[in-house]
Amino acid sequence: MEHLLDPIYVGLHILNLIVMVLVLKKLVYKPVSKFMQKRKEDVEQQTKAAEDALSAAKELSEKVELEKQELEKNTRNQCYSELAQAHAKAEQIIADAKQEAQKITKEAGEQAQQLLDAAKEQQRQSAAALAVDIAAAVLPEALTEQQQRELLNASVEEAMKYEI
Amino acid sequence: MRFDLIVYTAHELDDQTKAELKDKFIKKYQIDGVAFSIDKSLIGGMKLVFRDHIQDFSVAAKLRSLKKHLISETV
Repeated sequence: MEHLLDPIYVGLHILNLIVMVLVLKKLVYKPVSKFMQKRKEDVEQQTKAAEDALSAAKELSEKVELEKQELEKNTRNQCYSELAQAHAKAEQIIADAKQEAQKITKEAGEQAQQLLDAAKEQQRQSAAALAVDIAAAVLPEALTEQQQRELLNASVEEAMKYEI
Repeated sequence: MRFDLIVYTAHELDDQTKAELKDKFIKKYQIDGVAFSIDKSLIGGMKLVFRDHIQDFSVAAKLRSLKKHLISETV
């Protein structure tokens, strides 16, 4: 114990410590410091590279998102346009069909009317012919002698007006 | 004397009527002679048959004409 508290011994220890600190500072601190500095620069460089990559990835992601939105918008617009065209085409087809149906109905009506008129005309002609036939059948028995004479006189007058 | 004529009637004519008609037709048409015959299908009136043509003034002819007119006429 006395030996440990010896001032010389303590002084030697302190001197030893100072020398050791100086030696360590000279031999270890600078290389370690240089290594740490280099390591720090590497980490900063990698961090910066990572941040640049992240920034580029974000930009690319935003660009992709914008393109996706634009594509969706274009697709939606195209769908609406084609839907509108299909709707217009369907309306046109329906209108054409209605027009054709009206035309067919009108023509059928006209044909029916023509058939009806023809039938009426046929009926009228048949009735007229029948009336004349009946008159021809009835007259020979119905005419009196006086009427026969009058008819003969009328035909003679007619014959006298006739020139050969 | 240019033509002979046959007069067809629906009924027999008496001699006086025949004579009157014969006289009229000979003077009118300058023909040689007139004959008379009966055709009941004439119904009434008479039909004149010359050598080369016929002129029908009968009721049957008028009915035929009327029938033709009624059938050909459209309303």
